[in-house]
Amino acid sequence: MLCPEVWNFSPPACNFKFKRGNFNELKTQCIDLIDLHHFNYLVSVVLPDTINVPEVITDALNEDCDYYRVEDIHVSELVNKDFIEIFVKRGHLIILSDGTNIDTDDCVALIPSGHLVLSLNRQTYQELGLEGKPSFFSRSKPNRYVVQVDLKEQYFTPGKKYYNRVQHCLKENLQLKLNLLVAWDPPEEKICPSSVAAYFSSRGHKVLLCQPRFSRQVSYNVKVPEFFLGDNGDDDDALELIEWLGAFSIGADLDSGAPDNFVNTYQCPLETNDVGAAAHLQWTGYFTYSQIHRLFDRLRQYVLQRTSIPWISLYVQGFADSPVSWGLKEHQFYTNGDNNYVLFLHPTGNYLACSYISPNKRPKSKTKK
Amino acid sequence: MISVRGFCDLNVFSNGENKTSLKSTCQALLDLGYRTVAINSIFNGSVFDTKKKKKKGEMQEKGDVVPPPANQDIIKEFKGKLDIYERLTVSFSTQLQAHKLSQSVNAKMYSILAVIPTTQVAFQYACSVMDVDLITFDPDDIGLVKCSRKMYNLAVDRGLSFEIMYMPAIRDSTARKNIIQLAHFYHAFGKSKHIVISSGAANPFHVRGPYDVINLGLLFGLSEEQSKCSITTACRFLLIKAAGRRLGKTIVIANKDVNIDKEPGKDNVIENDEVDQDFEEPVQKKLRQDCPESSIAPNIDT
Repeated sequence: MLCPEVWNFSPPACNFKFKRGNFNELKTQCIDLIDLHHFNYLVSVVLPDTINVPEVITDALNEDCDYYRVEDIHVSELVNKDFIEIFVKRGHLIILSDGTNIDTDDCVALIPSGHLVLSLNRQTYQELGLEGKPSFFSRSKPNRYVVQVDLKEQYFTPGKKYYNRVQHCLKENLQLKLNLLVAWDPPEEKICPSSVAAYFSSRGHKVLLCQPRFSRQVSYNVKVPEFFLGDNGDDDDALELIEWLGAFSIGADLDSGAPDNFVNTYQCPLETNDVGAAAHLQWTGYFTYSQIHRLFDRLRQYVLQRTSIPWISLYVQGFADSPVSWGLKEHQFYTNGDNNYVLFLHPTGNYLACSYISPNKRPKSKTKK
Repeated sequence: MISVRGFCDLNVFSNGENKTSLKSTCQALLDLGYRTVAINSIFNGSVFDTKKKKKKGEMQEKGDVVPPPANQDIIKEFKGKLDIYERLTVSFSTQLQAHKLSQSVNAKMYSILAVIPTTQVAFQYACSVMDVDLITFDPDDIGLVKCSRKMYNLAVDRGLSFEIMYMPAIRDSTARKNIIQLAHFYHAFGKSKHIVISSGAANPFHVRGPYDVINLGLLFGLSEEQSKCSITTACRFLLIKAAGRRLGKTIVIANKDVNIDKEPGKDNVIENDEVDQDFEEPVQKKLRQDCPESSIAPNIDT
């Protein structure tokens, strides 16, 4: 009799990608990591050996980072020609559907490259009538389909067959009303980002202004791991450092992790240095990649000034329910939907970048016997 | 058209009396992330056995033994948030009881019909002939029902699903052994096709989150993909199949409207056993792209 193997489960698949280089050299830049990650939810910066954090860094994501929540809007509104001309083709616009789960509901995302990504259930996809592909993560009988429409294409204008068809299908066949999170980086300084909100409210939709939340914490007598960011560093050491960073960021008690502690037996396996204080800054909201890039530039300049600091970290967490993770790469949520990255910057100019996608493989369809 | 959204829990136990615990269970399921729920009423099929000898003068008992669905108020209360269906589970042991069940009018009013076969004969009858949606089992007493690969595949080909409940595993160790044993049987004989995992919860403490249930499915011998399917697509398949069973055999004919002035319905022939006023197609077919939309709707002669 065949018995399924139910005692030897492998841990959930997760995918870490490391990259090392020098951010002053063009060849080894990590710009792609920041610029292609469109939907950013949480940003956290850890500065060891720092008590007073300069205003320049805290203001990077406190000012000009408002985003808007448009309620009960139909997807066909996003393919209006004037909307595309004003907001999609100029500046950087990101739109994500709010409150929809990527594994059970229909989700919508618009990324700055002009692609409208619809991640639909089988029934919705069959009713819609637009061409799409089955999800990469599904096997023989797909339950999720992805439809991509390039809004910046030349032939996507009213009067052409493709545009008429897309608009007709979205209007007639999709009875889906969603709440959308919208953020727009205008192409020029003098245009206000709130004009996208004004556009939606002039079309008769309810728009709410939302602001990012900020918290700052300084911890004293912290033992910070030393980390040598050379070119031939070890990936395991990097993982240990990331784990320490995570434990520190949530405020875990890292001092009393002795072997006989009841609650916590974690001890940092790397060499640690006692620094006076460490600052932890955290922003939660809806950030565009250019805002994160601005923070990254300011952190770069700051770290080059502080030659004695061991390292500075920048951690960015993406939305678990976004249809795309980096660029147009499809994202899935099996029991976990992490798509994050962390950057460690060293005063010499070296950096270590690590991107983490939680489930990057198709769920297995066969059990072990 | 039935649209089943989100995670499904197709077995919320109700003994017909305690409405407050039922409401709080539904609220707990909604908070955990489920969007489709079925309220289950369990019924023992042995009441179908009537006395063979009747005394002269005694009137034969008329009326349906099966109670009609009685949870419409809860359905209305959660409308928009939670899709609630009514389900009937009948345990039976002979073909006669099964036959009486199929004749009962009230049984047809439930959205889902599930059976608990208590004998081998009943199990074979349920898998091969009986017009039901779901085959389940009593966790406290499996009985002598032996599954076989042939029976399992026969049931799967007909569109039946098999159910595994996880709540009895929480409360009782004997039930836990039975549930795991039967789950592994399903894996051994049928490669865990068409399995639905549900709670069988009677109060809010017994429900678990959908992702926990997905991980629990791995213990029941399901693969990762099957585990996630068991609370999403398998349930969707079950509900659509059940709708098809209730509506009976129907045929859809789509015509291109050549001339609107012509009398509609001349060329359409509809053969049916039971036809409903609102026409529902059980399995969604991909619409043809070049037909004008007005002609897809079938014309019914009523």
